[in-house]
Amino acid sequence: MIEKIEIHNFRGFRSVDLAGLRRFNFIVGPNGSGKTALLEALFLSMAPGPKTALDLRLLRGQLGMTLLPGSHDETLLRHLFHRCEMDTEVFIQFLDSVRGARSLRIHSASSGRSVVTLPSLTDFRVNEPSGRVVEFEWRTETGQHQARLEALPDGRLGFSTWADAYPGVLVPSSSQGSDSESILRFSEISKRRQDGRIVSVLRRAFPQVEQVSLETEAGETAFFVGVKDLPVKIPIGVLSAGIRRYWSILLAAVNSPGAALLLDEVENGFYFDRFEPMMNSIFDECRRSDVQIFATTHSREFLASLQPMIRDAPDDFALIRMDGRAGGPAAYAFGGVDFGHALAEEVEVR
Amino acid sequence: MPSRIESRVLLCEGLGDEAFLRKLIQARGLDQFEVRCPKPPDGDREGFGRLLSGVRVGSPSCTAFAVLTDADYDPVKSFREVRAALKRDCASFRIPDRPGVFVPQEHDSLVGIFLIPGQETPGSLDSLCLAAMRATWPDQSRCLDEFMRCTGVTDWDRGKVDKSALRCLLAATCEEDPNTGLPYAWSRKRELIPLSHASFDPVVDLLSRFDALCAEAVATR
Repeated sequence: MIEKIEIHNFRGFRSVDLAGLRRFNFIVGPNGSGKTALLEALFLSMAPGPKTALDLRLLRGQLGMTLLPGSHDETLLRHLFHRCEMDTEVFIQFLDSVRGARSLRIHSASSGRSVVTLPSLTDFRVNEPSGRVVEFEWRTETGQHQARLEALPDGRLGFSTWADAYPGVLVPSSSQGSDSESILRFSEISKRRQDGRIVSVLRRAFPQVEQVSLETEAGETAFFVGVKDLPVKIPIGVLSAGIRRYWSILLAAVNSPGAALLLDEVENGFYFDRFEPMMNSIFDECRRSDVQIFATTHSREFLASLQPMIRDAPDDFALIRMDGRAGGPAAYAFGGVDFGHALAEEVEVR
Repeated sequence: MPSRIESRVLLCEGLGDEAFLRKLIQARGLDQFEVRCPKPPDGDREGFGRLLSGVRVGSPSCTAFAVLTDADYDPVKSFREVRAALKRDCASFRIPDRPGVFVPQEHDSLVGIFLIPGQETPGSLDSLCLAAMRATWPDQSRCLDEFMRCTGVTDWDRGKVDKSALRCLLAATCEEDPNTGLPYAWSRKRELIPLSHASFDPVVDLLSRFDALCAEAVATR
């Protein structure tokens, strides 16, 4: 379980140190205070290679992935650096209670070679005599791995991966996109004959769902649900985007033992009176699978729903409050006892 | 530790104290303070620890928290009770070992325990309000004294006598709502308890010296 995080020069963070992290960590703060960036810092440092940096671009709505002739990977990656200043070095490190320290350094360096000219239909003038590349270096107690994004001659991007990834699942704030990862997880759970149990966990929060199965329609495999009084099964997302999202979170919690589950805007898509039964089940599954949660939220109702669970097990909870008032994002961690007291006293913690 | 406090929070015992402090701050043109009291079921001093630990979670890093409590007629005992409540529920705090001073904490915050009307002066918010009301309503006060004697209330503990007398005077002077309590005493059309009265000056003096007390704590760190 991750107990401490240290971040330097990543996105909006100049320098952040967070200790006292618990199994269930809830991150609050205004827009732009660094909540999602904290999840990204964790996810990137857990990653097996630099491709994750490109995944983060997509999650942030930066869809462009093409390197134009004369440009370099720094074009794609400069937003990882504090104030986009690539002369600084990004450093992210966390301490796991069992696996020890894991760190990631990202720095920009001269490529030592000529600019890679990518094929283009337009005439593009190359102004720079030599290129710069962004290098990634992961270190754990048992090894290290260096990697960079490579612009290949055919215009595609190349990168290496490393087997020693830290198990982490990032669930973005909206649940658009394919169910492919959830399908793989469900398949694993089903092979272990635990699918019945996980469906019953889903039903505790959403009793209208009677069955969940994988079906093929229009050439795609997808989750379908059987619902009371409906003669046919329907795609889970047709029933509810929220239920689909909850299902994907639940599958990740059950099938990612020892992982960190990073949930951005955890309350998104859920009716307020479902918060407590949903989170109760997720917490149970996380304890069972030794999964740790880092979740951002803007919702006061969501935080209030945690109160009975915090009261029962305060040592399992922490609140991380992001604060942008001191001239740049800062982060403060509070234990479950203080967190519970704040909720009981109706203190505005967001 | 920064040289400037960003936020000032007063933690008081109950809704009556909260209303009083808010109105006093407004009436006397004092700096901006946030005022809070514990939510039920832990009202009064028992709730101070939970309140302080909870309010700190939602406050900026450079915040000074002043726990204000009645000195009653045994200031030493009152201070000990507040200290015990804070020690019980605020494990990560450095709790002051004497009243009237701030002590530096984690996250650049400060915590102090302050007694009303003064650090060694017996009394309470009720006794201050009672003094202000007696001066404003002399005829009713004379009748009140007789009533208190007749009913045997004067034999009670002094703090309880003050509370009872204040409640009776409020009922006797607020025709608009004889059931009114201290939390709503300053929401009436008539001013029942004049905040300009000199009995409140010790509280005003404490709030006026707030930043100086913070600076002293920072300097002696």
